Parts: sequence; structure tokens; C-alpha cells
Amino acid sequence: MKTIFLALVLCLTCGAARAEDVLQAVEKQLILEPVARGEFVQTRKLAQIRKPLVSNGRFLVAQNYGVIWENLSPITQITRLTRDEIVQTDGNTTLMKLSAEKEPVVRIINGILFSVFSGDVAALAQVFDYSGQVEGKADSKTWRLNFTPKDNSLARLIQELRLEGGRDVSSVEMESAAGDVTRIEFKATTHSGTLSEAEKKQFE
Amino acid sequence: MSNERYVRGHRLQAWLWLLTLLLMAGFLFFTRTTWQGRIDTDLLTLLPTDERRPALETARKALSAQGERQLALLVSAGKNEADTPKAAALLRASLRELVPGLQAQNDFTAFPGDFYADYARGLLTDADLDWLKSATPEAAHARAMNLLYAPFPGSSVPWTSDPFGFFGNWLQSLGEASPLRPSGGELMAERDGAQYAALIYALPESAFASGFQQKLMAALAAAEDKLRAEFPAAQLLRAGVVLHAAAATQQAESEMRLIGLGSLLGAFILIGFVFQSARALRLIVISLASGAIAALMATLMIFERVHLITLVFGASLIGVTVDYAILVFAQHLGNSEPVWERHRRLLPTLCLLLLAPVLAHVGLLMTPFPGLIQMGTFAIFGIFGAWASVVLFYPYLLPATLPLPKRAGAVTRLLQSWPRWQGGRKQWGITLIAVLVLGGGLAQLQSNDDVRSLFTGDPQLIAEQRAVSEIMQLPSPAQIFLVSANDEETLLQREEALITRLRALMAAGKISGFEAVSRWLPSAARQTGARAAQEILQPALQQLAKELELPAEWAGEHSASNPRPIPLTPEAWLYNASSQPFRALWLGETESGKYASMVLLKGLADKESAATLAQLAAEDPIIPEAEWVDQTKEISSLMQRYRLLLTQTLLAACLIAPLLLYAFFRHAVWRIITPVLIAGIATLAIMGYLGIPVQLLSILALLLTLGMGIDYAIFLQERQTHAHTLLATTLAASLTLLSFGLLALSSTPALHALGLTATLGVTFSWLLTPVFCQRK
Repeated sequence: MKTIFLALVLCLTCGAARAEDVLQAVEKQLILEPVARGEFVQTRKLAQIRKPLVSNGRFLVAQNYGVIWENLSPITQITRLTRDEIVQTDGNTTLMKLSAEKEPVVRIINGILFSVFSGDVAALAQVFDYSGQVEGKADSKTWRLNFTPKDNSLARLIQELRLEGGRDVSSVEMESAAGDVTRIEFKATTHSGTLSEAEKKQFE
Repeated sequence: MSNERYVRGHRLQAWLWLLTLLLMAGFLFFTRTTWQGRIDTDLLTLLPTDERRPALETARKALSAQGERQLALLVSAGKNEADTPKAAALLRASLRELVPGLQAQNDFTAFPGDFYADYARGLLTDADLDWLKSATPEAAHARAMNLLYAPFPGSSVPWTSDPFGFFGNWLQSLGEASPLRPSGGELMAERDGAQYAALIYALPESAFASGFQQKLMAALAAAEDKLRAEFPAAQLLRAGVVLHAAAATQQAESEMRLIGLGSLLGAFILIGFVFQSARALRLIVISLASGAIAALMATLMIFERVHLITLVFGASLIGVTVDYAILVFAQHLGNSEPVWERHRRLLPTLCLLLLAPVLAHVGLLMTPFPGLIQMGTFAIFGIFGAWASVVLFYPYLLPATLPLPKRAGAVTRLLQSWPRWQGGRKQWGITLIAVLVLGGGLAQLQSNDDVRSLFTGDPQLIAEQRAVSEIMQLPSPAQIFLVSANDEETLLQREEALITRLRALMAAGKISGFEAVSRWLPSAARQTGARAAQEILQPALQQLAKELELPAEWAGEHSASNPRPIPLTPEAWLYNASSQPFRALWLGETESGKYASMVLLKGLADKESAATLAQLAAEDPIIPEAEWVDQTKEISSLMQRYRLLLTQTLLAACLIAPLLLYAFFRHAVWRIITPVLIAGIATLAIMGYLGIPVQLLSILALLLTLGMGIDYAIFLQERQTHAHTLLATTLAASLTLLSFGLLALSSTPALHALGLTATLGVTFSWLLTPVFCQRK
């Protein structure tokens, strides 16, 4: 009994050590700039709906600001995530607004989403268990990370999270408890150190 | 009656009493483990019950039943926030190890959505109900599309089951009930930027089970040490009835020891010093033991549980009960009268001496406070037990004559030179001054009927409790709305009407939230209304079904005419585990046949808000049968009513006592009653000068003082060997003073007030009685 337990502990610690390496390797690969912008294509497969739901648009991720997610087709929808708020508009009117003051979970969810879109894998590792691998040589390495929530309640929202990329995050896949899968592919990602004045306005 | 027959009759009585005492002692000894487990430490049981309002009593019981098994711990790792879940896990693990069966309750994390999903169609938030009133098919379609293409699913309910997000919104609105959110495997809450992990326990045993109490407190201390060893900056906040109960138990036990041992030691030293007789001490020990046995036995027979406070108060009775033995000794000093003749002569006086303190304690029985009634019962039987042993056993236990103690001579001489009332001009002058001084004190006398002045807790614990309530946004159990109706459905509808009003008060900042069953369990009327309101969505649903190639019946499933989503009923709700933390709010059918529930409030801003709520309940015709109950205020006003009633009783006693005593003492009655009356007035005057408010227990103490003061005066009126009697009275009074003085040291404000007033009263009685005594 004792030996089984010991073996188990050893296994767990070995696994943890290996995973740590993957995380560090991925972090080394990623471009670390405060601002990232680009385009996305989102493909959603819902359990009951045969036809995949495809939408596209552009995004802006900025450290200390948050995320602007502009869905341009088939519907217009702008989602703004800041530390304490989620606001969704159709360009003119507010569709949804939720503040952390009223619902503390907003802060947790926004933190996760910001980490996902900005590729902050270390932050994700705090709330998710992870595994993954890095392939390829020197500068053209690609990586894949799988995240599963440590928390049961988070698992009701996100059953599994899969990130892929190289120098940037190239795709994110979220699977819900009901089996719905949302895949987001990023294209033409560019980085910079600061936000333009026009971009800053979007966060106001 | 011949002397011989008198002696024989007495002997029989003595044997019978001895037998009774032995039986009671044997019973108490052999059942000690049972009755020791029945010692109560719950201060709330000392508070009165209100028989006129059964629903309110049910509510109080439900609240205390829930409260006494709850323990909440909030832990923060301090500087490094990310460590907080680890610190919580460590604390949880060490507690589980130390107290088997102690499981952190994670009901709050259990996802309620699975249960409510069956009833989803009838569950709508106010905001969504409003939205539906003006919704067009286009707007409905846009709303569904918006959710369908959102970058992340905002709710855990799949889109096809909840295309407009209504159920998701409703589930989210439940979150208002608690600020705790699961994160990193723990329930977290935030205050002033600091993160706290909450461990919520439902205790396996009552907070008042003393064995469990001790085990839990030791485990908590050990777990805290372990926590601090790992996380030196950790902060731990605790809240729970069990903590207060444990602190109160510890305090009461140490006070009982202090008062009991102090009084006993004082009695032995003083009596040994004055009488220098081992036989004298023997009688005292037997009489005190008899008092304790009789008091405990009677209390256990009459009450289900003995309260620890009763025992603390009981310890102070040592000073009172020891008086009988002392007064009898005094009669033996240098007295050559035959024992039985003396016995016969003393018997009426001794009976009279029993009457006064017993009647005084009857005052305690007149209050509606169970705790005070128990104290009164304990005192009456204790006094009787001690008295009976003295009366029945002393002829056998004491030598016929006790030698005049040499040391006593000096004391006696001092007392003989005591000032006497002779009615001279100078004395009337002093009287005038005294009247003015006492009048000045009485004029400044204030009263205080706040129930919180009866019981205070450990300030540290109270501060922690307050912080926990604030962080976890716990509702206050002191002020509640009690809603009642003839059936469950009407009850829920009334709650909903009340909640509409409460939401307005929330918007105005008067309260920060509320807890009500109808938040989780809407009335059938509201559920039907919610389903009917969604009929307007059919065109949008059909369009969506076509666009997304969903099965044809999908739109129909969301129709109000679909019989499948059944309404949520109270039975179903109560039966499901997810309602567990809130079940206490639902009182169900009460004794009066009505259905009742409680609505609890959070963050009641100030007294003004409480007044607003009281007014709301009184004036608002929209919420019939919603009764505002401010428990603190109600008990305080009850205390005031009884303070006034007892004041009347005290005044009546002051009038009736002289009439009764007139039968024995004729025109000398004024000598007995005057010192006691002045003592009472002087006590009140001093309290006035010192700014100590008069409360229910001070009046009770005055009633007790009246009984004891009359005793001293009666004994001094007994002719024989006046100086020795004076000595005995002095001795008796000083022992009573010692006991009450020790009681005044109690940190339970109720006992402190009783002890302090009695100390003052007895002191004055003792000082003044010789002044008005007849000269021999």
C-alpha cells in the first residue's frame, strides 16, 4: 500500500515537472508584446445543429486594457472585456453588460479569456491542469497545449481548452460540457508596444 | 405538646429529611454523566418565548437550529494572494483530521442548474419579463443570434435549450444570494482587494454539546497553529454560535469556580476565626451541601436542561444560605438555655427567616425569561434545602453551648458602639442632608432595557463575526419579515410583493440584499405568467429552426402550450438538495394552521432603515400579512415591561411586608422595615450618581436585598444576647456580600448587574440595621 502511494506521488511529481517544461518552452516561443491585433475566423459546432456556424471579424488584445472582439459577419457584435466588466453591443445599442461588482465571476472569466486571447499560458496554468508538446526545430517550433479546469464549476463552462501556435497563438478550441465546440483561428496577427489613440478610445 | 413528644417528632422529621437527602445525593451521583450532559450554555434559551405568536416562535427556532450548527471560517494567505486556496486546503485538511465527521459544506458549489433545468421555462428574471413585454419577433431573433455567435458561451446551459439566455440569466440572478464564487477549488470572496477562501461547516453536533465544543475548539487552535507555521501572514476570521458558546462556557466555568470557592473559603475562614469550632463548620458544610443537592435535584426535575448561568448564580447563593447556620450559632454563644427549649423558641423566627428570601426569589419566577425562572427555582430550593438541614440537624450537630469567642468580644464591642437612632435634633439634621443627597442621586437615575446589556460576547469574536458577515454578506437574524398566508401559493405571492418593495429599498441603499424562498421558488402564478409571456417568441423560434435546420419540434418545445416543463412546486423544491442552505427560511405549516416563511435582510444600513421597514410593513396594503419583527427591539421592550412590573411588585412588597410583620412585631415593625427601605433607596441613589442604569436585573436584586435585609432586622429583634446576634448578622452579611461581590465581578453583564446592586443593597442594610435596632 505504502509503495503504491509512493509510486503515485513520484509519478505525479514527474508529470508535473515535464508539464512545467512544456509551459516554459511555449512561453519562450511566444512573442511578448503588450498589444496584439489581427483577424479571426470562428467555427462553432453545436450538438443539435448539423451546420457549423462560421463567423469572422477582428480582435485587439492589450495588456492593462483588455480585449475588443469585433464580430463583423454574419452579425455585427462587439464584445469588450475589461478587468471588471463585459459589455456587448451591436455597434449601436448595448446588448449585454455585466460588472464584477454585481457578479464576481466576471473577473475570473475575463481573466481566463484575456489569458486565452493574449496567450498568457502561465496564468491559465493557475486555474487549469495542462499537458502539451512542442515540435520542430529552433525558430520554427510549433506547440500544442491542452487545458482542463481544476475547478468543477469552471468545467461547467469550459470542459476543455486547446491552444495551438508558434510565435503567436494560431488557434483556440473551447469545448463545453454539453459537447459544443468553438474553434477560433487567428490570422495576420501583428504586435506593438502601445495602443493607438483610436484603439484606446475603444476601451472607453 | 410535651417536650419529649416534640423531640421525638423532630427526630422523625430529621431522619426523613436525611433519607431524602441521601436518596437525592445518590440519584445525582449515579446519573451524573446524564445530567452533566444536560448543562446548557446557550444564552438564547434565557430569552423569553412569545406564546401569542406561534409563527414567530417557529421562526426563531428555525433560525437558532440552523445557526447553532454553523461554523464559517474565512482564510487569507496574506501577502501572496495566490496562496490563499492552498492555505484554505491546509486548514480544511487539518480540521478534517482532528475532528472526524467534520466536512466542509460545499453545497454552494453544487450546480443548481441541473435541478432547475426541468422548470426552466417558468423561471424568468424581472428584467427579462420586462423585455418580453415589448419584444418584437425581430428583436427576439437578434437576441438569439447574438448569443449564438458570441465569442464564448456566457452560460453553462446549451444554446439550443436556452436560445434567448433567459434561464442563464435567472441562474445568474441566484448569485445575488452570496458573494462566494468557486475559484481554484475553493469558495472565494473579496473585501477591500483582499481574497478570502471560505470554509463553511455544518457541525455534526450541536454547538452546545460541551464535549464536542471542547474538541472543536482544541482542533481549531491546533489547525490555526499549523496554518500560521506554513503561512505566517495568514489571516483567519471565524464565525459561529459554537465559538461564542465555547467562550461563554469557559467563562462561566471559571466564574463559577471563583464565586463558589471564594464564598466557601470566606465562610470557612470567617466562621473558623469567630467561632473557633470544628462543629460549627460541620453544620455549615452539611447545610450548604443540602442546599446544593436540593437545588440541583429540583431544577433537573422541573427543567429539561440546567443552564450554566444558573449554576454561576447558584454559587453566589452560598453567601445567603450560610446565614441560617450562622444565626443559629449566635444563639448558642454563651447560652445555657436547654437545647430543645431554645429550638422551640427559635422555630417561628427561623420560619419567618425562610419566608422573606424565598418570597423575594419568587420575583424571578414572575418574569417571562426562562433563564431567570430557572435561577429563581434553583435559589428557592437551594435556600429551602440549606434551611431545612439547619433547622432539623443543629440540635444534634451543635453543642448546647458554644463558648464565647475571645476574638469575638472585640468585634462585639465595636458593634455595640454603633450609632443609634434616637430622633435627636442632630439626627434629624443628618436625615435632612441624607434626603437631599439621596434625592440628588435618584434624580439622575437612568434606565436601560436594551437586551444587549444583558449579554455581551468576547469582543474579538464579535469583531471576527462582523467581518465574516460583511464579507460573506450574511443576513441578520435579528430583524426579519415574517410572511404568512392560508396556503403555500398565496404565501409565495406575498413574498414576491414584499420583494418588489425590498428591491426599491435596495436601489435606495437602505439595505444591500435579502434572502427569500421565492427567489428560488417563484409562485405558480409567476411561473405561469412567465411561460405565457414567452408565447410571443414563437415566430422567432420558427425562423431560427428553419435557418439552423433544427428539428421541427424544437420550436414547439419552447411553447407555453408544451405540458412538459412542469411548474416548480414547494414540495419538489424542498425535496431537492440544492434548497438545503435556504430551507430554514421556509417555515411551512405553523401551529395556527397558517403557512409562514421568513425574509431575511442584509446590510440593514442604520436604525432609520429599520424604522422605514417597520413603517413599510405597517402601512403598505400591498403586502398583507408581512410582519416586521425586530427581535432585539421586541425583547428589549419586553424587558422594559417586566422591569416596570417588577418595580410595582417591589413597591407592593414594601407595603405588604410591614403588614405581615406587624403580626409578629407590632409597633416595632418600623425598626425592621426602615433600614431596608433606606438601603434600597441609597443603592438606587448611588447608581444614579455613578451613571449605572437601572434594568430588570437591578430591580430583581433589590427584591432579593429586601428579603435579606428583612432577615437581618428580624434576627436583631430577637431579644437574646443582642451583641452576639449583631455579630452573627455582621458575619452573615459579610459572607453574603462576599458572594454577591464576587458575582459582581462576572463578565456576564446580567450577573454583574445583579451582583453589583445586591452588594450595594446588602451593605447598606447591614450598616443601617443596627442603627434602628431596639436598645436592650
